[in-house]
Parts: sequence; C-alpha cells; structure tokens
Amino acid sequence: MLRRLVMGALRPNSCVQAAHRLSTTTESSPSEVEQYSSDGFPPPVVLSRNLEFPTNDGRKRMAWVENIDTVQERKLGMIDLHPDIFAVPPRIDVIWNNVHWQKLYRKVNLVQVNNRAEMIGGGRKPWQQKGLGRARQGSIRAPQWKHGGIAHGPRAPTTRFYMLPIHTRLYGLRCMLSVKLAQDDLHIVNALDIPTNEPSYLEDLAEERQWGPSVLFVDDTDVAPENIAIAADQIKHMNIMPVYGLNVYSMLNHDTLVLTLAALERIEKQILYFMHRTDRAKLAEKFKTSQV
Amino acid sequence: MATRGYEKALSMLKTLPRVGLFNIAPNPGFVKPSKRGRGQHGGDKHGAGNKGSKARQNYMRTGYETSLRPYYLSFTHEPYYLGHHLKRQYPPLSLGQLQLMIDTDRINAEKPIDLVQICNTGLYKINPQCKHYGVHLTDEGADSFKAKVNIEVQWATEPVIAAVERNGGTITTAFFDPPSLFALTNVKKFLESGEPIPKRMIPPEDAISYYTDPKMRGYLADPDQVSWERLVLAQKYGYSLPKIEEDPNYEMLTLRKDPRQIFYGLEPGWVVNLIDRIILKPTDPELQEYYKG
Amino acid sequence: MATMKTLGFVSGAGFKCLNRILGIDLIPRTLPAIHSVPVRYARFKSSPLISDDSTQYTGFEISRNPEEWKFVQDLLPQPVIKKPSPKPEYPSGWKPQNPPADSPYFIQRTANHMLPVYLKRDTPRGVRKRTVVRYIQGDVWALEEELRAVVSKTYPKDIFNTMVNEVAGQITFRGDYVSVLKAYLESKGW
Repeated sequence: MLRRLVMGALRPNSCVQAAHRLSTTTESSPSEVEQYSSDGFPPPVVLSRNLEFPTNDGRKRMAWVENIDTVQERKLGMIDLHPDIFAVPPRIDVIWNNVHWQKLYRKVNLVQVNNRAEMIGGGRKPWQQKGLGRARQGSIRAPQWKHGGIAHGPRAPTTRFYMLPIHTRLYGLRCMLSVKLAQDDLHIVNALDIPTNEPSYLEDLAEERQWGPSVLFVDDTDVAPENIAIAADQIKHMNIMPVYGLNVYSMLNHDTLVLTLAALERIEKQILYFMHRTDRAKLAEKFKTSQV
Repeated sequence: MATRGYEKALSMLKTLPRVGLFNIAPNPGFVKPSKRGRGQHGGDKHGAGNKGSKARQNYMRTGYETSLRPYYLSFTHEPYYLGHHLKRQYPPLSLGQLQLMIDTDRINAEKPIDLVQICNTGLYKINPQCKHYGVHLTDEGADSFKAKVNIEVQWATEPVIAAVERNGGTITTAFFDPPSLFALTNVKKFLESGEPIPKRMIPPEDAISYYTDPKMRGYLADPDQVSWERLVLAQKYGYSLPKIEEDPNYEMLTLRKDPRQIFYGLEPGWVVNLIDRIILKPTDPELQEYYKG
Repeated sequence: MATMKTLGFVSGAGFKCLNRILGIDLIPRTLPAIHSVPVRYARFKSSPLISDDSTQYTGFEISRNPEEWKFVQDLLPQPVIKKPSPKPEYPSGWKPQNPPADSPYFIQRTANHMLPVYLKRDTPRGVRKRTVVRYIQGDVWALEEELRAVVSKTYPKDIFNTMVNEVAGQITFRGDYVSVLKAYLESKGW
C-alpha cells in the first residue's frame, strides 16, 4: 500500500508544525496530537510525498491519514495533496454540467405516439370535396381531428446520449474533490481493513467521526476486503467503489468521501497524466461514436 | 483566509451547506429552451416566414445576390482553381514555431527531426486524408532562428534553407506517399497495429523536379551537387557556411533516409513488436526483393 | 468468467454471502460459447487470423539488437509534457516563469508552459472579439485594474469593458488585446 510513499522519519514535532501551517484543512489541534502520543499510541508519522508536476504558486493542501481498524480515530500522519486537484476554483456550474451529462447519456426515451399514418383507419375521404358547404377534409385521422394522429410527437427510441468534452469531465472531478476537501468531507485512510463484518461497526465509526451518514469508500482495487464488503453491503448508504468508477454524481450523492492512500495516489496520477498529456489537443476533439 | 479570488470561494464553502445533488445549478442562460413550440400555434412556421431559403436553411447559398445575376455567373468559365481539391497540400510550420518547440523541449534538436518528431509534439495538425502531404517550413521567424538541426521537411523555400544552413544545420526535402504518411503522423498507433513498415513510393510526376533539385535540397538530388549548392546559397545570402565535417555532431547532421525508407534506422518490411521489444525481419526472398526494389 | 467474478465483488458481497450460507457455488464455472461476446477489432489488418496455421506465415528472423531498438524508442512520443530545462538563451522569445515576489495575485502557466491569454470570438469567424486571461489566483481585481491601465495607456482612444469572474479566476476584455497583455505580463515575469 505504501510502496510508492517514502516514509519520513518519526517526527511528531514536524507534524505539529504542519498542523500550524494548515489553514484550510485543519482537522485536529496540535494538543490533540500530543495527547495521542502521550497515550501510548504510536506517534503520527508525516508521510512525505513527491508530488508530480509541482506548482510554484505557494498553494498547499494537506490532509490527515486516519485508520479505520478502530472505532476511535487515530491519526497516522499527514500528507500533501496536489493543489491542481484539491485546490481548484469551485465551479458549481462545471459540477452541474457533469451531473447533467451523467443523468442524460444513459437515457433512452421510449415514449412514442401514433402519427396519422399509424392510426387505424382514416384511409377514406370522410366526405366529398365540394357541394356540402363543409370544410374540405381528407382523413378522419388528420392531426386537427379529435382522435386524430399526433403531428411532431415523440418518436422512440430517442437517445439523449452526448459526450461531455474530456477536459470538462476532468475539471468536474477536480472541482468535486476540491469542494469535498474544502467542506471537510474528504477523509484519507491507510486501508479498508476493519476487524468485523458487522454493519454496526461502520455505523459506529461514522457516528464517532461525524462522517456521513452516507459514505463512499474508494479503493484502487476492485476487490474489497471481505469484512467491509459484507458490512457495507447491508447499509444502503455506505458504498464501496474502485478508483476507475469514481465520478462526480456519486461523490455528490454521498456526504463523505473516504479515499485509501493507494486510491489517492492513483487518482492523482491519472488526473495529472490527463492534464499534461502531449496529445491534449487531439483528446479535446469532438467525440465521434465511431472512434475506438 | 484569502479575502479575494477563488480561494475566498473555497474558504466560504467551509461554512456553507454541503454541496449536493439538490443545490447545484448551471450558469444563468446555459439551458436554452427548445426551439419548437407546443400548443395551438406550435406547428406553425416558428418565425421563419413562408417558404424559400430562409424557411428551410436560414442562410442564402454562397454567391447568391438576392435577385441579381450572381457575380460568379456573370463571366465565362475561368478555371483558376480547377482540380484544387486534388492538389497536394502542405500545412505550414514556421521557423519561429520550430524554435519555440526546441526552446520548450518539445523537440530534441540533438536528434534528426522529421515529420514523426513534429507530429509527436501534439502541436502540429496534419491529416493525410485531407491531401496533406507533410510540413511546409515557412520563413516566419527566420531571423531569430538559432538552432542547429538536421531537419527533413516536405516543402521548403530558399530563405528557409539559408536560415537552417547558416546555423550549421542541414535540411532535406522529402516526399512521402499517403500510406507512409499515415504511419509517420501517428507512429504509435502504427507500431501497435503490428503491420510491416511500408516502403516509400517515388514522388508523382509533377513533384519529381522539386525532389530531385539540389537547390531545394531534394532527397533524390545528387549529394555532390547539394554540397555545391550549399556554398552557392551561402554566397548569395552572405553568410559563411559552417563546416559540418568538423562538427562534433557530424554523424547526426548527415544522417539521411534511404529513398525507400520512412523511419530512421528501420527498414521497410520490418515488423516492430513493442510489447516484447523485438523486431521481426522477413527472410522470404520474394518479400526482400519487393521491399528493396 | 473473470468479469462476472469481479462484478460480484464490486456490487457487494451479498452474492458471496449467499454462496457461503447455501454451501453451493452459484457462479457457473464455464460459460457456453454462445454467450461469448464477439470482439470487433479497430482495423481489418490488425485483427487476428481465424485459424492459427503457422505454415501460412512467411519466414522471418527475430532481432533483439539494442542499437536498432534505439531508433524505435526515438519514434515513440513523450507521454506527458515535461518542464522545459533551463537554457542560457531562448531565441524564440519564450521565457520561463519568474514570478515577482509579494504580488497580490498569481497567474499560472498552461500545461504547455505558455501564458494563459487567449483570443475568443463569439462565432467562429465573427468580428466580436474577446481577450481572456485565465488561471488567476489571489486578487483578481488588482490584476484587472493593472491590466486596464496598461490597455488604456497603449490605446488611449479605445473604449473597452472588462468582466471579472472571481470564482473562476478569469478576466475578459472586450476587444483584441492579446499581444499587449502578453507583452506586459511577460515583462513582469509571469
């Protein structure tokens, strides 16, 4: 799990300093950290990360790494988050665009009404053209007739599929992660291992840490540990998701987002890769359904 | 806490209610109402008037002058652009753009530059399906061009050749047929497809004179005449030609492709396996003869 | 087979739970051939042959020469745009970012390491032009005042409006002032 992270030396003081520097993501006061150390827990370890594509604008985002193998919270360390992903302008309109797209692209409208050709009958001219003093009519199923066919009605199947440009999709993810971090709804855990498969454990955990009530756990593998899989399966508002399924709608749908360290690494790596690809111009071209 | 800028928005979010599915909205005016009305007058003309081009296509056809005889019909046939859709096109790349690519490390000037390297930057647009036959290197930014390169382009003019050779570099103009261009413009996709590298065909009849011209540094020109023309051009433009024989990068600067070759160092007929990192070479005499001839 | 197993795990462990309770394996071990999904290949030439008859192939030899492989490596594009290495001079006029200290705002370079100043048109070939400065952090209003002064000094007769989107960190000028703004921002080291 921590193979990509270089573990710093055991420096409880540096963690305290880091907490002082922290302005936006403070989750714990320095005294709390010291208390943990004096209680006999292993002191928090600052996990230093080498961020790819570093920025030079002085923005800094950090977050605590927590455990979930006990109900009571224990801080394992503090890590840097990439500011291009966790500190971008919170564009609510871009988030809406993503949600709108996610709602629509899978939608197929199956409502269909009959036009005049599809109605039964109406082949005969109802009365002669001239001589009766009545308006000329050609069919009893013409759209102006009662019980006539519908002109310009909905035709099935009508797909609502469209593709949002890739950079809007990426920006939506970055916005959403930034908003979750800013609102203190993003938590990072070392692993998804819990000691029991009882759903009450997860409920107690969320209660104790003021998560949720709805929680989305994200790991980088698509095979979750057995205990949490069984426990979360019985709570409808707690779900597990692999990194490749992470999306704006699900993040909005859940109150709290819990990332594992490995998932965080993977998300950052993937988003940064797409932001800095050499073929960005080609990626941004209009989506064609025939493209592979 | 930041008082201005989007950092202020992020810090405001801390105290605002949680962003959820129910409290997000698009920018004002983003959702446009459907054009087609419903109801009693929904099936009418939708404001497009009655019949004609305005009702049907909303614009007049090109060259139409309402009721006058169109200009393009008032003279007899003048075929200036006859067959323009069949002519070869060379999308331009200026020397200034090339220098910028080198300055920002998008192109490595220490290696020979050809269409592959230019397309790999992702900054140059070319589509062989639109009769694009390669790069036209233009002279914009020639005065500030300082790089020493070995470049192969598909079209170049005299000032461009002078600008490259003044810095001690070399330039070649080379023709590639469309199947080769597909391989050159998206080389990763081509190598992943596992197809044998195609052999380069000779230029069409009307391009033979350009690509055999030593003044244009054609790839089919006599090398001795090319080196003579390098001296002539240096005298014409008034610069002293740097001696590439004494250059430490002499090997790189004089690397050229065979007229049948499309990639440096790889021969036509070979198949590159990127996964196993091996190259398959045909041993069949018939195939070997085909790819050589 | 693998897909079904994976789906079973992802959608929750209920299926697996049921297996354990009932003591039977509900996952079919083999799928009948009729359910196999036909694969469509992108290109006819790269799709595999129906029968793998090695006598149909022509002879070939395998080369593992590292000298030849160097040429293959030179062909492959760089996956990501890297930060340009520092050089003694930049003949193209491009300069690496050297931001001034204690500035109330910060302008981030684009992924291509260029200044984020763009010309936009309302319609593809329209005459109404807008100049947009993007990726501004910090005090957008201070930068807007500064840039307004620069444009009005260069074009004293021009009447132009500006629009600031503080949340997005963008400033929009009505009119084409790309070269003026770029030259100014470059001179300041952005």
